[in-house]
Amino acid sequence: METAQITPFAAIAEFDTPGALVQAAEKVRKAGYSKTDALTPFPVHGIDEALGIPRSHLGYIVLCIGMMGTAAALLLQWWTGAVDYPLVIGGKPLFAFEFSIPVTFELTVLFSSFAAVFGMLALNGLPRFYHPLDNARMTRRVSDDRFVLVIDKSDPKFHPVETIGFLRSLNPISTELVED
Amino acid sequence: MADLAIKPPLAELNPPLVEGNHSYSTVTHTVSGIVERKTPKQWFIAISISGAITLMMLGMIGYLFLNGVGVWGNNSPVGWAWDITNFVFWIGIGHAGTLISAILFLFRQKWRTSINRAAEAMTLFAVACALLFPLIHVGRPWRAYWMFPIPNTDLNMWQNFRSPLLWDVFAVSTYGTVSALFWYVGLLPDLATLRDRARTRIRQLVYGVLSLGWRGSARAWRHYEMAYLILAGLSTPLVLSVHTIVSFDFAVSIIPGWHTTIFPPYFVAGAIFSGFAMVVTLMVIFRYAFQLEDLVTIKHLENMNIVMLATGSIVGYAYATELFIAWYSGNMYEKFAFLNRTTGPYWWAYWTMVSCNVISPQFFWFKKLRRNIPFMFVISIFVNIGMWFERFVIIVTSLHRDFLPSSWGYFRPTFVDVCTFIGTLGFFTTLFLLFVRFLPMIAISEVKGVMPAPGASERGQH
Amino acid sequence: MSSYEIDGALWSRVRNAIAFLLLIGVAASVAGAVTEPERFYRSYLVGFLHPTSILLGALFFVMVMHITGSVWSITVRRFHENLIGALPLVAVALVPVVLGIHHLYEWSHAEEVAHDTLLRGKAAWLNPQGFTIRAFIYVAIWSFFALRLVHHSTAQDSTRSIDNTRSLKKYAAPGLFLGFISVSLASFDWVMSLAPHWYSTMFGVYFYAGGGWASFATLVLICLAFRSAGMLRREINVEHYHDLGKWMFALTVFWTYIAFCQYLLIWYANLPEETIWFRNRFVGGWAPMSVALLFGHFFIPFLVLLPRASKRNLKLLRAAALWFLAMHYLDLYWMVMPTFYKDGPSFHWLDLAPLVAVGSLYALGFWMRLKKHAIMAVGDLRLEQALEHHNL
Repeated sequence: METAQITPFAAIAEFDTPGALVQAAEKVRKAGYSKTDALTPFPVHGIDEALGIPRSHLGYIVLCIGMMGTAAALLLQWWTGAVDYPLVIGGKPLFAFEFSIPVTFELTVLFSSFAAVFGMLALNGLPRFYHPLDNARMTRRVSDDRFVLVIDKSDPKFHPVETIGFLRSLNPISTELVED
Repeated sequence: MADLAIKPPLAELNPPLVEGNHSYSTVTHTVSGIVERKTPKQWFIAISISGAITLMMLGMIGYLFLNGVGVWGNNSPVGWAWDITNFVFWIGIGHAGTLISAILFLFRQKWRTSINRAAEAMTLFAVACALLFPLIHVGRPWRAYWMFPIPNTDLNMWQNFRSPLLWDVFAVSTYGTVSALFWYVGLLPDLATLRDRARTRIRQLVYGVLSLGWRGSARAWRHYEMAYLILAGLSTPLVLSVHTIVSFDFAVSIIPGWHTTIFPPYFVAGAIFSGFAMVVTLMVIFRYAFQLEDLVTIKHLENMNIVMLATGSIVGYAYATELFIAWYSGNMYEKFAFLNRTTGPYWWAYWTMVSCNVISPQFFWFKKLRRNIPFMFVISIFVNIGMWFERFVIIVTSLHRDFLPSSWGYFRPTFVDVCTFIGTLGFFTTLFLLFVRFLPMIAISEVKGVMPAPGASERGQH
Repeated sequence: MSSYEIDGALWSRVRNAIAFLLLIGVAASVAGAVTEPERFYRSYLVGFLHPTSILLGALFFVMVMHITGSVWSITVRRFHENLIGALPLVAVALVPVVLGIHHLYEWSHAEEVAHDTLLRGKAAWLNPQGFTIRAFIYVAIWSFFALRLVHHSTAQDSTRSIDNTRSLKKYAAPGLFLGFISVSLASFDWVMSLAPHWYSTMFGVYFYAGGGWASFATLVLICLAFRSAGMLRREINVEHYHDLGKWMFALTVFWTYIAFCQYLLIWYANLPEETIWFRNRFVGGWAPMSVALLFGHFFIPFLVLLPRASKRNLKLLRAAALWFLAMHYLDLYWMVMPTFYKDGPSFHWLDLAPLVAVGSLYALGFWMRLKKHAIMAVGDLRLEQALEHHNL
């Protein structure tokens, strides 16, 4: 068999409905696999619980960087207006919380949004233009209408033949051993 | 709960978000097909017209740069006129896109998925048109970088953070940036779809690079969904803040007709109102042009008309409150400003605004009318016109009769005013045409997420 | 069905308790009205506005939920409906305000108006007859829509007909519009005209934002009370509380937005006729109260409710809801009292009596309705969807 000759990267199985994927994922987790993933065209409800994927911590990153934005905005307005170049305009105080709120708010949102987008990309390891899973025949249709379950080779229970056999028992459309 | 066995007519309460007999793959095909098919002839005709109008706009701007702001009709006492009217008009249009993508997301209004992509694109292009006006009206646009706190040796001082105009710089640029980020994040999975379907090398390369290697992994979706939720949560107050700050440009002053505390929410409601009108205008055209009737259903259009009815009524409430409080205040200047607005030389502008903004959406109380496509198209145009007039009325009628009758005047636009504004319509259309040609105009992966899953019918809708 | 009816013995016990509170509240109020009428009427206005604005907030959200076809709120809707069912009682609670008009409103004194040009100009609106007639028109509008909404929702318990859902939408849309206008005008009449020379177009929105804020807190407290009595534990689960928490959070931000915009615009323009209202609240004992509002009405609720975990922590949510009710009282106190007591707040035992009286009057209205129908909207066609509701 060819399977013996290639270096495997992962064993994958293909399903045609999100429901079938979640059910299969449930069984994979119960069988003791932990280095698992799923490839889906849209976020599938319940897959995180089924595979035991923890909640994202992106929120904390965003909060910290957002607060840096708040601080930067207040410092900027106070230092430029009241310290470095104090100039009375329209009888207004050199610095006051009343007029500094709008810019502070905007910069907080700006910093937070950058943190959300680039934090998300960083956590996902993107951009990444080559991935061994791209070698698989079936992953092309993931962005269309297929739901693929992945068991990574780094899983302690991974075995090229047995894992494929186990995946076959879950009634997928097909299974595949992906080359590294 | 045995007596719940009577099958309730759930279809009316949960109208299908996708009509026709669609599967995941036909949705992919319908939307990507628009980008992959040979470019239709009509598209070339449309873009040549809008491109020509854009060129006219660029010509007008060049003429302005060479000759100065005097080529516009602005003159004492009307120092702000079409320039700021157009700015507020365009930035307001943008608000519907953010409302659909962020606020309706937080409110779990699933019908947003078919229209949010196009609406967000509209936001970006409207913001681009809006940004043009503050930039070109400053007199010396080549010094525009003075608006940002960049250390430099030719200004040698700092920006005035006490000025609402500077708040505007921060608000609008933040808004443009965050909208672009939000839009791009939403596009990622669909760009991956286009990448996977690409047949030519150049398409593979372009969409491959743009999609950043998105693979739809569940571990990635988890961060992605969190990022989307956070961006929605940030964009919601952001969109309110933008038009609030735009309203501050007027309301912090002491000019009667500008200085009134209801301006912030009133401007926000008006912005959403005008933006939804523009979305209806565009979606009616493009759903017809690209046969997207199954994805952008009549129910989607009806919902947008309901939003227009609601926001139009809020705007009407604000007009009425302004009039009432102007009387109630007992302040002679307030009273005069509103008397002058409704019955003065610009009475025609005021009543155009009221008829278009308050009266015309009231037809949408009738279900028949709000599901009638030609009718809603006409009303959406009326609302676009009315909302332009609203900004014109607020700006010009408050300025043209100053406190001293010696400084009274009457503003008339010049051909440069008119052609620049028409030019931005062409600019906006050009950008939108480019968008529908090269990017998926419907959020493919989001629509799939709200479709009933195949094989799930026996479990009931979810 | 039977599981959604309240236990008779429990119901009677609570009814008696509310009735007892009502009696004490009314007796204390009457005693106050006789001994210290001036102080009584002023305190009464605050004590009346607090629970009334909560009912109005509930009215607003029932209608919003119908129009948007909101699913998650179906299991909590009946509590809101029982609250708005008490709106006709506002007509009763309003009587002392009308009786105390001369103690409350400067413009109600003909001799004051006679030598005040501005007030003479406003006399067409600000006069005792107009005030009274308008007040009862407002109550009529609210009661009409509230009772229609309650009627169709409770009728659906047995009919299970989609016609009821359609009717609910039909009443909600114009109700929202007329309700908003009438609440704004009521806030102009009842609160803004306490300082009759001052005006702010935003005031109606400000008043309503506070009421909506407190009405969600009230709803949370009611749901949690039923939960601790062992009812609706599955139907109103942590997912629904999470949503209620989100609303509490969102309205905290909205109230702050409105309050800040109103303040900033007046601060910035710096016109004496407008700034006087805030100046009165920034001097003497009122200054610390203004700061307390900034923290208590915004910073603390904002920071506490920001994390996802706290919206799913029922103990915390209960504490937050109680805090909200207290802060809403402070907000109304801050709106009303500085007109009368320039130097600072002077709390009085009479502040409490009207609050107890009006609050328990509405609570009794709520409680009497509770017995008549199921305690949850069991007839709603999307109830099953609501039970499956899940948050990201």
